[in-house]
Amino acid sequence: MLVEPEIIVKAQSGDDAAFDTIVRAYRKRILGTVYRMISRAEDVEDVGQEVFIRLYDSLKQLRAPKVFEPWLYRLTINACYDYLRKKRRKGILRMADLSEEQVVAVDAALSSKKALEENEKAGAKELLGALLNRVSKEDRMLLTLKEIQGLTLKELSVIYKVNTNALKVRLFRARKRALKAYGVMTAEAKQSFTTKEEKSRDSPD
Amino acid sequence: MTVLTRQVLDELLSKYWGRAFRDPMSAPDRQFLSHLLSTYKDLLGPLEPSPHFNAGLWARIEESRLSGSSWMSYWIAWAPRLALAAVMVATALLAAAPWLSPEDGGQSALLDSSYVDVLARDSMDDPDGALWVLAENGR
Repeated sequence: MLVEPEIIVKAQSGDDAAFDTIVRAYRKRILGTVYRMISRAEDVEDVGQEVFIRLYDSLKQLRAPKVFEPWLYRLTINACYDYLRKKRRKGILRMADLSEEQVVAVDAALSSKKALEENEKAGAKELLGALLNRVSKEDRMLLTLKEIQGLTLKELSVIYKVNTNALKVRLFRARKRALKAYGVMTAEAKQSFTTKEEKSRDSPD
Repeated sequence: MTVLTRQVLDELLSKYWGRAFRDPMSAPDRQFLSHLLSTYKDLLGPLEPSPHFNAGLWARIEESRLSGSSWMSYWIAWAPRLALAAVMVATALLAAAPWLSPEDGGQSALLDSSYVDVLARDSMDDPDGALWVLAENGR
């Protein structure tokens, strides 16, 4: 834990200075998690603050300081769910909407053969973000926490309140769906570029 | 006792299901996805909170506190007036109850003479109806 249990108990009893200490200790970790989950830097602080507001409002309900971190992760996951739900309503980014350069950049990023230029990095990031937008928010959260955030199955089982075997099954399914989504995105992108090429060939210029 | 090895599993599946066990997700697929996500992690990089993060957070907490307390003060201010209004409405309903009772209220409106005239005139195509209205009026 990044703070002593006494600090959590003090914050539970309404000590704002103790709560501020908690925020300072955890803000970087929470912002990192939120960033990986929503992949939009401009909205990260807003969602991160939402997490801490929810923590402030619900801290008194926490039964024991030892479950503080899983509790905070749950609040983070829920805030990200709510954000993604709103964003999804506004429409998702499709791979076919991206430029050919962006798609090429992902190949470069994955092959790791050369250092990426800044614009290529932006493209690859956007594209991989688009992939995570393609899978359900539940799969996205699980994959982010396990594969990107690096949480162990044991830690995840506390957060999700399920046993590790059930988690393994969920992870397996989430990975399958992510790979399938990647395949669909790649096919769409290829189709899109082929159509563009055909159009440019047919045009008199 | 037979130990359930991969080979045994393959034999059993071939015998009863007609095909050998196939891992639904191959190792290269798993590696590819892990690589994809770790690339994403590297691309995202670390994120530092802005210098105003805590100040902004406390401003939002204060705002939610105020909106919560303003609702409370709103209810406290209006509670006596709402209670008085509820008592007045209840009194009015109780006072009007005899006038609204189905035995009297419905009939008195029906037996208004001008209304009966109009109804009788408009009901000439339906003599039974007109007669009933006139009979009721004369009762």
